[in-house]
Amino acid sequence: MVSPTRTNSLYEQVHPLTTVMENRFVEWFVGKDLNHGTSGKVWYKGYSVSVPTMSMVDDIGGGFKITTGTNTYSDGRIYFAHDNGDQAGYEDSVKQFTHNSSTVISIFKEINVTTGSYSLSGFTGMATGNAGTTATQNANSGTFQSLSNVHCRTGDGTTTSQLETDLAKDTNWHIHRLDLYSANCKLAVDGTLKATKTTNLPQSGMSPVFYQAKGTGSGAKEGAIRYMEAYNR
Amino acid sequence: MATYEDIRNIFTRSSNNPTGVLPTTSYTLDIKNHFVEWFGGKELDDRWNESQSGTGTFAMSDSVNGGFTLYPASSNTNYAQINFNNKRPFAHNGSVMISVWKQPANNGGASTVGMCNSAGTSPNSWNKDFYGTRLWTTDTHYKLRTADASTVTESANSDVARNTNFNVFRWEATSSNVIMSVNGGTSVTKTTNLPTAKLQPILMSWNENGNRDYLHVSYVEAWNT
Repeated sequence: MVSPTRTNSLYEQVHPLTTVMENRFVEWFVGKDLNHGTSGKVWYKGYSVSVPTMSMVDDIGGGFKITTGTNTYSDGRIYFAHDNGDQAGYEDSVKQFTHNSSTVISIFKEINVTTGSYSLSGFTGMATGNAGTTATQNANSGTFQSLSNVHCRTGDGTTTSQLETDLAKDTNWHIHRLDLYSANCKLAVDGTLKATKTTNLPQSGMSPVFYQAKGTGSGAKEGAIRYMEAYNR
Repeated sequence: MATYEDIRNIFTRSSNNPTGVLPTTSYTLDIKNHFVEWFGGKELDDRWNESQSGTGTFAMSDSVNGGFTLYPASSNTNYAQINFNNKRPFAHNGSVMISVWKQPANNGGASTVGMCNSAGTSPNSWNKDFYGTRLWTTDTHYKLRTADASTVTESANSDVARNTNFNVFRWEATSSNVIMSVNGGTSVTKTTNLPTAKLQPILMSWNENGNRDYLHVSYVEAWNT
């Protein structure tokens, strides 16, 4: 890593002043609650089937946790949306990040790697009426109930597919980085390139998302996130 | 001075990388919690919790470099405090907090800035599992204050005399001590009565015997080391 040169601005740590910076977003996931709600806040909390618990964790480095309901196909998700109040269903996302020249970095973990759990972070193009992530433009990574390993997942609005890595699922914090290009989506986990996916790539803009779901199996499913950064390149 | 060092590192290492892979050396630092608050805008966001006894005042200051202001109600022991509502992501034995704040007058009130375990239960906020600074009306200099689960003590005077300007405070807690510097100057180290439990930021303005003062804060940064 190159040591940063001291400047009077954060801007100049990312770009020189001769370059107009694209959109950039950083979320630390600390504090009393997520910055969300109906009066112009950042995040929207959505869910399906049964009401999840979504809150900051009172623990060192705990981050923000989603606990799904116990019914099959319950989920909880946070993303940017025009908010009519946190609710069931799928609100239209605010799509500020490009599908072919953006990056999203997340530090998150699946808390209980058990049958039927999946934790995902990255981008979503969720729109009103979408049925979960499968019918949307999306590019994310994490765990999926039917796969043993961490995967890169993309959707082109019609078809969503997964590319499995050689990294087994576990309950530890990991740093996921997705770089989106016109020809592929690269997934790096903890600094190592793990997947380059070239099929079913998203076709239009998207929002950052963290998503925890329960497919089959017993009990609620949990995931937590403690850092997210997204930017257009 | 490391005021913005860590966030600079974060922005630098996440800048465009044609390979799409972060350098491995960044991950030890990346994995820790980090938090920055600029106290700009219309109002505090949902990350912060406002606690008080009586009806105090919490407001963004409509002035240049004004920051966010706290002012307690008019009765003895009233307080106005912001915290994380006991969501405590920071380690008592491995964390740093940096804050830029001022008490612009000394009318007999007190200001407290630092990390605590028990928010909204003043005086526990500054007397139990705490590190930071409490500026009391009789203080002539800034001090380092720490508390374990039962006992609170303060250091001798630092070399910075109390003043009405913004100052940059940096406190670092390890398993063996807490170190404070003011405006990047000489450090004060304290090894007794160190906090023993997880922590959250706290900023509090306190009414002592009916006397009160504004507390202005313009920056808070915290992370686990």
